[in-house]
Amino acid sequence: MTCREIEEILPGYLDQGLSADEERRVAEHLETCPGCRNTLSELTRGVNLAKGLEDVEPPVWLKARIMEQVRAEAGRHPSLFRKLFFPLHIKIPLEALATLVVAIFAIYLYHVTGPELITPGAPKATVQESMPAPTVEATPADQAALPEPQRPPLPMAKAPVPARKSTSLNHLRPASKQSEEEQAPPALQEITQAKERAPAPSAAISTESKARDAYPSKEEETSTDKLSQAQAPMLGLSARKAAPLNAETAAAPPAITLAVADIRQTIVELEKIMHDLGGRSTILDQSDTGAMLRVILRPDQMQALMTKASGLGEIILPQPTPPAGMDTLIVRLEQRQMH
Amino acid sequence: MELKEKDAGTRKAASPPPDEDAPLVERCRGGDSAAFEVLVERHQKRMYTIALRMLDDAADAADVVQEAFLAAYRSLSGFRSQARFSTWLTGIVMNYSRNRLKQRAARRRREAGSLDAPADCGGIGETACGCASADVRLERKEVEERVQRCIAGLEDDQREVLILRDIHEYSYEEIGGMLDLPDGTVKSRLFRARLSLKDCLKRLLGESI
Repeated sequence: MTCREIEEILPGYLDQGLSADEERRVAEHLETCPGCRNTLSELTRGVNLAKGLEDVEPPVWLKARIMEQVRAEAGRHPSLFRKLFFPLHIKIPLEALATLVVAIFAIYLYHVTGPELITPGAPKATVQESMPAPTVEATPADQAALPEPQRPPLPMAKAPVPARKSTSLNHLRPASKQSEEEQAPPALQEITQAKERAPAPSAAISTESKARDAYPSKEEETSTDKLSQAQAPMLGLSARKAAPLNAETAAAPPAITLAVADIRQTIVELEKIMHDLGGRSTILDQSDTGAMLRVILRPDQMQALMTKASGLGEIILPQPTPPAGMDTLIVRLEQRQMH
Repeated sequence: MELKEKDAGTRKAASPPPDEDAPLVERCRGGDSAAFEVLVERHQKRMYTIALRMLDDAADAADVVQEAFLAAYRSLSGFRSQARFSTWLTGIVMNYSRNRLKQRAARRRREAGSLDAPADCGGIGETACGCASADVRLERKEVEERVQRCIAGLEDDQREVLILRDIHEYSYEEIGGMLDLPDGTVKSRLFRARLSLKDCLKRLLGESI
């Protein structure tokens, strides 16, 4: 080792701060190098001088001042923050653990109770919608849940009323209403069957259909109200429970049905009309034989829409009277039958 | 060589001592502020000296010691008795001293225009030392002042290690724990500090070193 290398580690030789190997090499070097021995001597002297420095007396008032602050601190109640988080090394892990336990419990609860929360809201109709021929094979109870006769027959995605609704109204409907339902015009029945043969609608369309079926026509709304009010006690439903059902029903948008020659062409024209009138339209469902659109328009433009819509095809249901004060309208398009 | 043997012996003897402050610390945790007063009485001199060696300013050292004791009192509930109370307290004093040095450096940068730094004003030279005859005392005081001047001239990170190891004889392990440094870093800083101190003393004391 050179003197320079020795000098770098020589301070460690003073108090066994070197490895055994380094210590041996330094010792060997020192035996033959008077310069490094001199450096070691100076280092030792310097350290001894430092060690010889005496402790210094603090000011006489120091202890009194410290204790004054300590007593003031002792008399003070710790802040909420200090109570919650100090000492950090104990409180923080505890709090993290507690948060973890709560989170795991919440997830567990969600998994355990989640399906139960969803099940009551899932209408039976959802299943029936995606299944073929729901009307024909329905049980008597399900048949009773079919839409009211006053309501325009739905050519598309005709789904029964959601299970929730059928619970309250199933056995209250007269049998004649069911027969009227079955006596829908042949053309519409064909459309219905075509729709039933079509692939199951997407989830979004199902949702729309459910929403649509959840909103009956004006007449149905009235009868539902009466029935709900009159029969709720018999059904075991409180008036409070029946009320939201009615409120939901009251918000139903009106609908018109148009028989047209070309579904796609009509949709394009209808969209153009809506654009001209400053409204907008959304296609809720569409197939080769029918379509359903929701149009949103200023109420004062409804009359103009009805006029222009009558030019697109034949308005078959209901009569072409503009809905008063409504800004939303469901337009159903049906393929006009070629005779 | 003498130093080496003495130091090795000290380390062997110092390895297993029980912490005589432990019962007082327990009493303090129970809210007994009188027990803390005993701890202050017992350690204030050493803590003040460490702060003074670090800061080379009596007023700053007193401030730092006050802050450190108060911080220790507040944190007693979190003090794990794995380390000795005095070692833990020294670590707090060192932290406060470091902070004070940083503040001072920042202030110095702000006041970069003024060069008339008070060299010895309020420093260790003002403290009393009562012993021996006047001549011996004066000579000793002069040497101490020069040693302190050299220590004060070290880099901050070298100074703290030298003070803890060579003046107050803490072990490498304790110093590493106090300053949160690995053993190798403690040693390399200490080696550089010793070499710098040697060079400085050689300049100030001449051949007498």
